[in-house]
Amino acid sequence: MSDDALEVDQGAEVEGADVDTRSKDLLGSLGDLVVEHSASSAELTVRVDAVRWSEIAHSLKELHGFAYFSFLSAVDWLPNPELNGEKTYDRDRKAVDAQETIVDSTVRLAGGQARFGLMARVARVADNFAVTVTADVPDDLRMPSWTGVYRGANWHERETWEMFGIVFDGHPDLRHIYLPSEFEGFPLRKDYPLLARVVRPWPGLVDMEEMPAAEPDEEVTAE
Amino acid sequence: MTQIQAHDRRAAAYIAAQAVDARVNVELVSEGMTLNLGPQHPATHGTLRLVVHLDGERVVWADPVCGYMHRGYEKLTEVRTYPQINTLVNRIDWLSSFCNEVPFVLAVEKLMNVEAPERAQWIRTVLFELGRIANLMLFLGDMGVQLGAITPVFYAFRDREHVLNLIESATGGRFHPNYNRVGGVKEDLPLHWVKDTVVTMAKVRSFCDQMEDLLVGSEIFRARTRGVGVIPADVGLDYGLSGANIRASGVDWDLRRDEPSPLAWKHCDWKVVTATEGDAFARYWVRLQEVREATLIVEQLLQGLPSGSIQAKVRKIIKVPKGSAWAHTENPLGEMGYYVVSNDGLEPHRVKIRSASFNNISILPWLLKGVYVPDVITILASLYFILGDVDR
Repeated sequence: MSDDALEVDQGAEVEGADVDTRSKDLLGSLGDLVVEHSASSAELTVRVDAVRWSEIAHSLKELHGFAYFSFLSAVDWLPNPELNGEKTYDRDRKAVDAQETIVDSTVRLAGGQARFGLMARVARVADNFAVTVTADVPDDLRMPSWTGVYRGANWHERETWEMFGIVFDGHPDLRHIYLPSEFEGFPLRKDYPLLARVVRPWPGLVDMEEMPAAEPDEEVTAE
Repeated sequence: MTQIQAHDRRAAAYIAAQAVDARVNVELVSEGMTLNLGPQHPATHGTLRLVVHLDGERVVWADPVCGYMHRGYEKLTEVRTYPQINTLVNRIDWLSSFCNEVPFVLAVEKLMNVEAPERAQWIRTVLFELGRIANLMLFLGDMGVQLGAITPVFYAFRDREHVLNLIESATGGRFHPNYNRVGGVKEDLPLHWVKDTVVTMAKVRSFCDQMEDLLVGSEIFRARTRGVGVIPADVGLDYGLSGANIRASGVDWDLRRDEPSPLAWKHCDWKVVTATEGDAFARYWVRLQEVREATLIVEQLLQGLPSGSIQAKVRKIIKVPKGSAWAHTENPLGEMGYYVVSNDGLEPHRVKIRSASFNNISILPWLLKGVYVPDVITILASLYFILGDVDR
């Protein structure tokens, strides 16, 4: 298998033939709420402006029947400091210029530029159709809460606040859910060091045998 | 004169008695009591702490405190290679570990544009259903023990062992198989495994009959579960309940049937069981029927098990190209999904683990409002959560 064959086709625009008619209908009626989208036969991801974050929740639930709340979370788009087993931690790293260092946006399903991307997934059970909604979190890290629309968002927003430090305006009870209440820091941010590796550095690949990946053409076939 | 005094005295005594009564009543109207259930409590399946505020025997509010089992898997996945993560996610829902691996591997396969061969998909489906059976069998017995019926749980542990033996002989691990590989499974099924499995499925069905006799037919069990913890479908969906919890509220939604998946459920003839009551009894009943259906799925799959390879061609070192992918399956506890983001590395950029129990128990503050203390245990048992699946 060549490298080209491994590339996944995940452009923002997919040919009409692959896209579910349900996706088309939904995109049509959501109109200018959607800034960018990516769709395949079974999945629809839409990106909205942060200020319209609660508007899309209302629209999806009340107008389009997306009653089932699956999850809400975020992604920190700074590069992984331990990518490919190499430690690139800068423990004294100060505020990072997000625009310059973040992972390039082709990785994101529906585009976006900000350091933090918020995402939430809701589904319509009658025809098993789900939408993942994403948004770029503004620099002040404040987003409107979904708890008024989906009650299940309550715990997910608490988790997202605890792990990423994104504050949800209008959340009734924004406090720690997993970590002790006196915990400081936001562990799922990329610049939050993995403490186990700070205390005792990872030996890396030193005592491993030569990795077969050294010869890129070699493939393995089992049985 | 004396009559008047006597009358006054009686009146005074009456007033005094009323005052004493009133004082006693005032004392009986308590300020309420805050009861700590857990973190170490047999009804909490691990270490869920439940702070319940009581007024007499009724719950005023309840606040589940999770996090005692939080292991930070979402952070750990960022410094683990994909095969290593497979080992990690085994420990999320530890009663059906195999089922945790499958959606993760499916998400990675989606990103790598690899599809496992037909035989591997069928083997995955068989083991997935065995995981479901092992998990739900324990629930079927455990629900009894929480309501005071001791016998069913022994039957459950005894008969679950047959299923765990099957999983062990195929994968090498009773609880943590780590059997999925990107593009296939670790190895083929052992000799005589198919025959043994068919025998065991009959045993599982007779276990289900026993549970039906012991619990479903029991007057006490019905009295304690019927009408307790009723979840209307719209509230359940709002909180993101999935699996048997939402099917017991009349929502006919099962990802095994509804979601296009490379796994082999589409080749089987089975039905999605639903109930309309939405109470604890309905949740028990739905899971009982689900085990029966699962045994039928296993038997059908084993009859038509295709031959061929069990591993697609993939590099030895799993390096996943850039992109984001979501995959989810209908796990024993409900919808379980992984949102995997790869930035062209040996480790993922981010893995969001959507586990069923987290949503399933987030309804507790709403559901426990106003119920009696013994019903708290019934509701906890009937929602059926695994703490590893809540805290991740």
